[in-house]
Amino acid sequence: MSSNQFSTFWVDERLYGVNIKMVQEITKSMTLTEVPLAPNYIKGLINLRGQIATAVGLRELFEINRSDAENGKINVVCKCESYLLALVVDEVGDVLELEDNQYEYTPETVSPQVSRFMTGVYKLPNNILSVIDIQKIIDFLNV
Amino acid sequence: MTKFDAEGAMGEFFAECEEILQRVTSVLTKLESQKISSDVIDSLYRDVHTLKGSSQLFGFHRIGIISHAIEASLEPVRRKKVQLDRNFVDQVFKSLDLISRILKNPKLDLENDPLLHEELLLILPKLIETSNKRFSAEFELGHSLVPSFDLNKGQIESLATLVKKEIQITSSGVSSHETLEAPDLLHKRVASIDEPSVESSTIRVHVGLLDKLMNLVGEMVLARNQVLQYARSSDNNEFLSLTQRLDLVTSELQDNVMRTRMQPVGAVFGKFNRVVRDLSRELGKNIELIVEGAETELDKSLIEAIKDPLTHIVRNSCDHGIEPLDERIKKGKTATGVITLKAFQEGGHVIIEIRDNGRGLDPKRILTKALEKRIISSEKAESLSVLEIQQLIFAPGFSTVDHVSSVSGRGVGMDVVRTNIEKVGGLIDLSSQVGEGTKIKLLIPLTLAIVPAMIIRSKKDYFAIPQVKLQELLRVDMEENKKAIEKLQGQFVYRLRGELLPLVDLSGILNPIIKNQEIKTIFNIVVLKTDDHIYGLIVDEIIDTADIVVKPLPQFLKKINSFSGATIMGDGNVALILDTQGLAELSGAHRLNQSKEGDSKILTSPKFQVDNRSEYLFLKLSTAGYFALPLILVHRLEEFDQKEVEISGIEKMVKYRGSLLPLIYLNQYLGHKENSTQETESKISVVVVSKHNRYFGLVVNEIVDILTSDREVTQNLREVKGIMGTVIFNDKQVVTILDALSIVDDVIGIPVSSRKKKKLSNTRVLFAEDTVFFARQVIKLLESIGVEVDHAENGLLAWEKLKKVDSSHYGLILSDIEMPAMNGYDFAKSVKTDPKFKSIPMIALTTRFNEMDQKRGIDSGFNKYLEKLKSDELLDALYDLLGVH
Repeated sequence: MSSNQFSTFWVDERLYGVNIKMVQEITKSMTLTEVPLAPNYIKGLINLRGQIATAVGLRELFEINRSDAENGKINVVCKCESYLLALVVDEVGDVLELEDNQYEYTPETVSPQVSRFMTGVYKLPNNILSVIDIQKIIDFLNV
Repeated sequence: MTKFDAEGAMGEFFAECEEILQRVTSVLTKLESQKISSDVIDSLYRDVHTLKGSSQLFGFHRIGIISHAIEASLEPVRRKKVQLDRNFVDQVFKSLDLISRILKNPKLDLENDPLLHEELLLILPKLIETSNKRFSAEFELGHSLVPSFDLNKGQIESLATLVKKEIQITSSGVSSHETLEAPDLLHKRVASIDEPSVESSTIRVHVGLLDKLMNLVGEMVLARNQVLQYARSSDNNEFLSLTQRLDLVTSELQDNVMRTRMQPVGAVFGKFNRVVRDLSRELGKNIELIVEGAETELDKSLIEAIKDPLTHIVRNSCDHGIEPLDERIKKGKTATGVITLKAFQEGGHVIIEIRDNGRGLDPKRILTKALEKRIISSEKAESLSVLEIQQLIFAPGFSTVDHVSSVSGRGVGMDVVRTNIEKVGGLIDLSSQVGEGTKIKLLIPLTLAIVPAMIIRSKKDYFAIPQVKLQELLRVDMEENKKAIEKLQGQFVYRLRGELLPLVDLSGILNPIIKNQEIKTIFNIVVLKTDDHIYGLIVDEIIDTADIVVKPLPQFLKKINSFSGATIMGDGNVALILDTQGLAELSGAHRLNQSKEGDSKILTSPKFQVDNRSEYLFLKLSTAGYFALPLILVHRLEEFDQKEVEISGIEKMVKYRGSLLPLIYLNQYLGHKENSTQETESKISVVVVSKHNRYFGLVVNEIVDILTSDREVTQNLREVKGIMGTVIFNDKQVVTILDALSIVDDVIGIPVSSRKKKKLSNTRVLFAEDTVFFARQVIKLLESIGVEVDHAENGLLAWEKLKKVDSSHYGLILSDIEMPAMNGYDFAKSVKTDPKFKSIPMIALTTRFNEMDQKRGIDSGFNKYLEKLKSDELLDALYDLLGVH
């Protein structure tokens, strides 16, 4: 039985994960340079040792209106094609190795604002992990 | 051999073939015109031979056959050292073309493309034949080939085997067995035999690796900047000295890594020998290409980027620039047209000049075309200067050729050239003289990765603006002039030297929701140039200039259309690079510029502004109020020590540039009461003016400022000696304008032409001059001797005036040289080539007064060529030409 490793994080008290192959590093919040005129989920640009990463706020992207000043301090930096995205999340969880038999397609009841970025869910013993597809985020940004 | 290795070796092979083809081409073109040296022939032969060998190794039999045929046909040349002839070189070139076609599309060779096959069969015998004819007796290798050409497929294959055999002999003892077993090894051995030892000190490196190195160095530079900044705030001496070393090493590293990407521009220039040669044959013209500065180095990616634009320009020069042979002879030019390609480094740029001595750009023809193609409106056309008309060739969709030739003239021409040059941060400049040729200048940055930029601040954010987009910086203080910034249909505008400059508030654009409540009194304006217009960007602060490393932005941020990239600043923060074009479009500054053509009510026509603006030097004398001198008369401003003033007789003077400068105390001259302070002050302020080839110093109390005014000089009611009149500045300040030249004349006691001031009656003079000040001087002078003056603001208007009258209407024509719409030279040419008017004498009045200009003036048809403001000489010439003694 095959399995995949996921880097997990919390946004608005929900558990999400991205395939660990896509994750370059996790950093604490860094100085942001705002991009005027960009949509609100583009939090700004970060200097990541000379590379420029675009910080994308997941709260804003998922259209969660309750903003929490305390949160949004951690960046999950993902690399996909030539894009370097820093997902701004509330809190980082463990790296989990999950078996294929725990997997299920995204239930239809998940709100479309979030489900459009998901590939499916993993059933954990005491929680449900939503899998985020970076490619889907990039496709959304580029539209 | 792994797949990767095979691909790598194949890549090497292609690269090598390209190199050889380039070298062979350039050598061949040289051989055609120069005497053959045996070294050159040998290297040529060796190259072709290498080509043959390696192509066989990699299974490109066709290339092998062709190169074998070339090699064979070159054999007699090598032995007899005879001159190559044109037809033969043509055939060799054709064969080389075939090879490069196969190289570009390797499958052609493998799939036995019938078309290629036929072409091959056509070219090879021709090659052999021409070689044979030329050197019939000495033909050996080639001779053995000729019978094999039986125009059938099978024979070609047998030729291939034959060639294979040759290889065994020529590659000195390497057997065919080895060829099959260890192609790589053989390849290396062949290469090592053929390449001169000097080149073994170089190594081929993948460009991708260099790019990565470049990126890493860029990052290192940034890290160094951060360390330096940190070190400055530290008081640890050891740390400081360590960072200094780091600084030095990093800078050197950066320089050297950048140099690895540099290539001589000769790599591109070499190609043009062939282009020009082929085109001159095709077009039936004699064209010579002169290349200068081929060793100038440029970033590899930039060399790639300028290749196509350059080709286009060179082809244009051949096709449109250089005239056909008979036309050149008729014009008395040398039969051979010359195109010069010149490269040199200047500051952070490489400049490439493409110059031809052809027919030049004819403004009339360009204007007709532009109007026909609706590139400009007819109203706008009238206000354009010759240069502006010539610049129209860069407009999209412009092409002057009536028929589409295979050479150029597909209408995608020069605008694409300009776009491509500007894409890499370069600039293109053009100058052309009708009948004499065209010069195009490309200004290319040395490297793409590092760009000089201006850092500005808007609110709390910092932004970078590439220097190439920058025109100038302005600081406008609203307290000084409350109307400095005006509002036009909701848009802010500023009058910059009389032209309306649309203004864009950067923070307003970037924060459209927050209304800008802040009321500023001082505005920092960055004047920016985009493809088709100029606008001013209001920023909060202008920080500094810096060399920035450009990092690309992801696609989804580029589409905001305001930023072209990002960079990392010394403090480690990211700054966005402004997209000047996009900002203009967002703000509507764009629209304002476009409305300029139609809406002449609001925006006064440029002609009006150019004509009526004069600059004045403001002075203070002992009496109240300001005085001013036309700036155009001022030679220099000086300050002298009272002690330096010497008195000779009743005159006061100072030593100035090796001779004595007579001083004229303006207070004294104008009869003002001498202010006591002037005597006691240790320094005196002097305005130096020149007249009659001598300098004179006008002593004033204080030199204040330089101001412009578009108001006319109003004559005073009572004529006062030495005063021209008054001008109102800024709607309120009345300033007295001094007539410096008549003051000088008066003081030195020149009998103002009294001996020859003969009155002329019934004489009308046509006078073309765009500077109001000079025009007034001349008109005043001529009217004083009774001449009626008809004044036109430029050559074109003068020419139109002239065309409306009889040939005897004007007794004489006076003209300035540098004028908008039509300059003096062109005006004179128009007059002198018109049978009706050609007998009217013409005098040029100009500040362009060197030998070359003078010669050009006389060549254009002027009878006399005089310097401005020399009234005596002008009168002399006038009397002379009108036959008055």
